[in-house]
This record gives sequence, C-alpha cells and structure tokens, in this order.
Amino acid sequence: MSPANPPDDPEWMETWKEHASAFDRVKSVTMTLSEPQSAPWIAEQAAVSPNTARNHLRRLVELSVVTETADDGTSHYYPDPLYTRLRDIRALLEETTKQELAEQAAELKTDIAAWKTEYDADTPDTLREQAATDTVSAEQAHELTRAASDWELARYHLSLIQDAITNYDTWASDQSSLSV
Amino acid sequence: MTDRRDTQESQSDSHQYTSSHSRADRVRSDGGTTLGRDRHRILRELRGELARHPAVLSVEGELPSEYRELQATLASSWFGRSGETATLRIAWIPDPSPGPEESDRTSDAWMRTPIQAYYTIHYSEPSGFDCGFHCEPNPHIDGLLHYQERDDVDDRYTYEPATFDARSASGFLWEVMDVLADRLSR
Repeated sequence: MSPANPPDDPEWMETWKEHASAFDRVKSVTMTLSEPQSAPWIAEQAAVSPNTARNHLRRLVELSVVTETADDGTSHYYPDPLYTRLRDIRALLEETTKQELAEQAAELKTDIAAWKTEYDADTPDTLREQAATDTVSAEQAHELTRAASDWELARYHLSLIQDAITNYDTWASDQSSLSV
Repeated sequence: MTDRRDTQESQSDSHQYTSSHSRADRVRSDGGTTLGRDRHRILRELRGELARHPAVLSVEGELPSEYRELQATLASSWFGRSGETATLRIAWIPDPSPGPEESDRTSDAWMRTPIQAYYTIHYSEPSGFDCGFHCEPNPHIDGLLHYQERDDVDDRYTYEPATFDARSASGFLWEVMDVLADRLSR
C-alpha cells in the first residue's frame, strides 16, 4: 500500500486498515474466496497495491496456505484445501478430547440420519436437485439449500473428526507431526 | 431474541430457480464435501475478522468447532446505544445452488449483492430491538439483499433495500459493521 491513502477509500475500509495489517487483509480476502481470483482483484478488496498483494500472496503460497494456478497467463489464488483441512484437524486436537470427538461424531451421525429421514434423501445433492425444480418457490428453495448446506457442513466436520480420532494418539502426542 | 419470525413468515414469491451445474463432482472420497469445507472456512475467517473489530467483546461458533453460525457479543456503547451488550448473529451459505436463473443475475435480485451467498448478519439488544442485513428470499421485499428492523419482539419488521460495495466476504463484514453503526446512531 502506498503511504498516501487513496482519497476515495470508504470509512469502513479505513477502519479495517486501522485494525488489520496489509498481510492480514490479503490473507483474509483470499481465505474467504469462493472461486480463484487474481492478485489485482484481491488487492482491490484488501485495500493494498497490486504489488503488495502479489508479495503477500507469494509468501502465502510458499507457506502452502494458498494455491496458485495460471489461467490464460494470469495467476489466480485460492485457499489450499490441504492446509485448511489440517488446520481444522489441529484445532480439533487442541480443543477436544478423544471422548468428546467420539460424542461429536455420534451427534453428527444423528443429525445426518435425521436429514435423510426428513427429506427422504441419501445425500445433500438430492436436496439441491429438489430445490432446483421449477415447481419449488424461492423460499422453499432457500430452505432446501440451507438444509443441504448444513448437511454438507456436518459431513465435512464428521470427516475431520474421523481423521482426528483415527490419528489421535499419534498427532495429539506429537504436535510436530502436524505441519500447520 | 432472534430474528426467526420473519423467516417463519416466509412465503413463496415469483423467483424461479434452476441448478447451474451438478454438485456431484464436489463430493470428496473421504466423505467431506468442498461445499461444507468452504462454508466452514469462510465462517472461521469471519470469526477472526470479528475478533479484530473494536465493537466486538467475544465471538464464538454456535456449536464448538462446527461454526454453523457465529454469535458475537458486542459493546453497545461502541454504537452509541444504551445497555451494556448486544449480540450479533452471522450465518453464511457460500455459492448457493440453486441461485437465481442466469438471466436474473443482472436483475434486481442479484444487482444489490455482488457476493453470491445466502447470509444473515443480525444485531439484537436485550431491550427487544433487533435489526439486520439479510441476503435471502423474503416475501416482504423484492430482491435478496435487504435491511430489516423492529423495535420489539412483538412488532412487525420494516424492510428496505440495501446495497454494499465490498466484493469479498471479509471486507463485506467490515462494511456491514460500519453501516450498522450508522443505522444504530440515528
């Protein structure tokens, strides 16, 4: 970011800049992406110069936090899925005992079973397909989409817990075995 | 107090949805899904951004480690409000499918929301006052993104359109907090 702030920066951006560093803003914008974006796009959203964004993104790529892909000769950036998965597992290992993990897994399996029964569906994809039909209203589609998303979140979380339980004794006793 | 009343009252409107593409290829072999992972990742990052904000006293996921929603405790005084604390509830469903039909994405339904997600950012005070920004279908207003407010739990919400400039989820959160402060100081 240049020392002189652009005169048209909105107030909320000034507040953000006051409470988060340029690196933190670049990282945060990138970690909330739903699709890969270029350095100039990330720079604009993080209120930094394109070169500053590229420097920070290069560092995040080196740390395996972010992946870089080339699309028509332009680099695009996106959160590294392995990094996010290992980070989430590490959080589970730090915050939860093996017994608590087992209890959470049971609760998630109960939730998933309830969705299967309530919607007469085997996967959340079925709910999304139901939501996409022409006869479903916008509110019904929204409700089905929300239920599908909750289901997908539960499945993801369950997969994390299962990984954590399987490797608990190794990873919890030797945190250095986790690279993030 | 919650803002559930308005969603419970939701009825159908004229929006028609269609699936833009199959999600089957997004299911991972380990049982997790990229959609579930993305929602978890975004909420986790928003939690970090909330923790930086000067109005926020604490923030937690509604369920430990799951983050289906975030719940923050705010200092009311930062917004110039009476009372000691207020709460902020954040729900986020990224990349909703189905979304509005492609032809609708240039219409009012999506024009006011450059971030394609369903979300709720809702502020509540112990006094009964609550308000928030919602991006979801609601029969009481055209378009998805709107502001709603009521003085008491027994009152009906008033609705009005809302617009934002930020195109990232984290920037959007800071913009919402700024607009919320303007609203609450009126």
